[in-house]
Amino acid sequence: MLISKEIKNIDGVTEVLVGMGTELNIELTENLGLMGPEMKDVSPNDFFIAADLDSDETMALVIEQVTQLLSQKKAESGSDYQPVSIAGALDIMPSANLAVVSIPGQYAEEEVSKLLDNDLHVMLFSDNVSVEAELFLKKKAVEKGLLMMGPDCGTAIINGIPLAFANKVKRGPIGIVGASGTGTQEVSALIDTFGSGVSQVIGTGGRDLKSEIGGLMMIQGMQALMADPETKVIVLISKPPAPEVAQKILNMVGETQKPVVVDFIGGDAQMITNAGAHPCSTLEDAALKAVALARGERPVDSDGFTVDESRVNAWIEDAVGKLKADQVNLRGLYTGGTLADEAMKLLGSSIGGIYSNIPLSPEYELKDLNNLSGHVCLDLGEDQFTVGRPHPMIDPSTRSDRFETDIDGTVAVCLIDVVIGYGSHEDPAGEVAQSIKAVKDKLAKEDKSIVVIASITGTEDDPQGLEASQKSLEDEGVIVLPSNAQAVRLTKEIMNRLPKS
Amino acid sequence: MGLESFQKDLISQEVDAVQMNWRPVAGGNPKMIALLNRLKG
Repeated sequence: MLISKEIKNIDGVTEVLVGMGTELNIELTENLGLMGPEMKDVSPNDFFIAADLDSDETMALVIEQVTQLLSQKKAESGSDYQPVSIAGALDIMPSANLAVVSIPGQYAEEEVSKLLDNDLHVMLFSDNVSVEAELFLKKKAVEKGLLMMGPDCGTAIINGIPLAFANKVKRGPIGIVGASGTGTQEVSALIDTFGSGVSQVIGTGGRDLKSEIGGLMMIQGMQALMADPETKVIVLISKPPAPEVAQKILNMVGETQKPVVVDFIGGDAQMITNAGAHPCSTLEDAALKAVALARGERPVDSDGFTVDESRVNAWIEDAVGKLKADQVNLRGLYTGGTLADEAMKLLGSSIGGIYSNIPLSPEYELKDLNNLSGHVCLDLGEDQFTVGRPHPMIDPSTRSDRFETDIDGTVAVCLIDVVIGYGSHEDPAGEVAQSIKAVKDKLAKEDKSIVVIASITGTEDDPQGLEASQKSLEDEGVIVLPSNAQAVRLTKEIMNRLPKS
Repeated sequence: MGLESFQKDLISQEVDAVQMNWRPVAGGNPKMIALLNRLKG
């Protein structure tokens, strides 16, 4: 995948795929329109290059570069032996107690089963794993007192170590069990921002709270946090669970003295209150309440800004002042699905219907991902945008492309998330800033400007640095709020002052 | 098992982590895998 990316940068190359002749790679080749008659003879043991380019000379250059890159790769990893079997890996590291698995989904069940047999906890990042496999693996894990975080689990922080897509968060007394990756990242990073820290952040995978799985990992995680002496406050994060699963989990609240904060994003708040737990209106609200409880304070509902009111008013006035009368649309371009979902839920019907690839209701499903009109909020991490390309948190170019195609003279506000931390690109804010500059230059030709509102999910201890990332964005005129909730609130205030679209 | 960047990130934080050189059984050939499973089964 990375070699393909490098080769694509060669002048004269329009599209390219480089790899072994596995079924997956052949499928990708088809999807990219690079199939040729030679491909039918390619077997999984063959290495192939499929390219759409302008000349034979360019192809020769491509072959040369690929050869160079391959031998470079070998030389780099030559010094560290990479075992081919689990037994081999455990020989090298007998003290291993956790495995991170990100192989194609159809192979995951067997490998994870072997890992659990060897008494390792598992973080299963892979998706396209069947419900049956997930249930089998989770039951096995529960029986053995192990964690099986996933499938489709991208975020965990165990003993202070961020795993896969996660942030470097200060240690502290708040434990989190989360079914949503970016939701968990947002809550844990905000806990750090608001001056507290986390004990453990356990992922469950996106499907855990559906009735077929019954919340097995959320229950397992919650029990672990209930028993953990370092954890004083428990936070649960998920999209609304199946009702009987929600009830099962909420029943556990009564079994612990520790305060429990529950964010079933947009779910039934009364049910949570009745169970003796603290419901939340936003991910930021969950973080604020957890921090208050950790300090022995009464948790309060949050709804407003933690930024000075005068600054907020100045942003609003400035925005309304500079937008032209035909600039009425919202474009949300998100890399984190939960954050996009939170944005749409918070905006509700206040600005009118919002089209999306993850719409709140079916009549707002985007039929055509090109030629956008009206209000749109996209989750660019969803499958339709990630065929044959890495997730936009790793590779910002998907979103860069959308900045070009989706922002036109009818757009008033562009709302985005910028997720930093481990797993993310080395400088997401820098990449976004570049895209914003290009968009602004384009609109300036129509004598128009645009309002870009962002929040950064991350901490100062992340490799990219929260402050440095904020500066990159602000230098390009982006308004940066401390949380997704506040970014959405500002968006709502501005949009409501504009003529209706 | 899988994406090397996950292991590299751990190493950069001075966490001991071993990267496996994982390949699907039989090079991912589904016919071969089915045959092997029948043998095992």
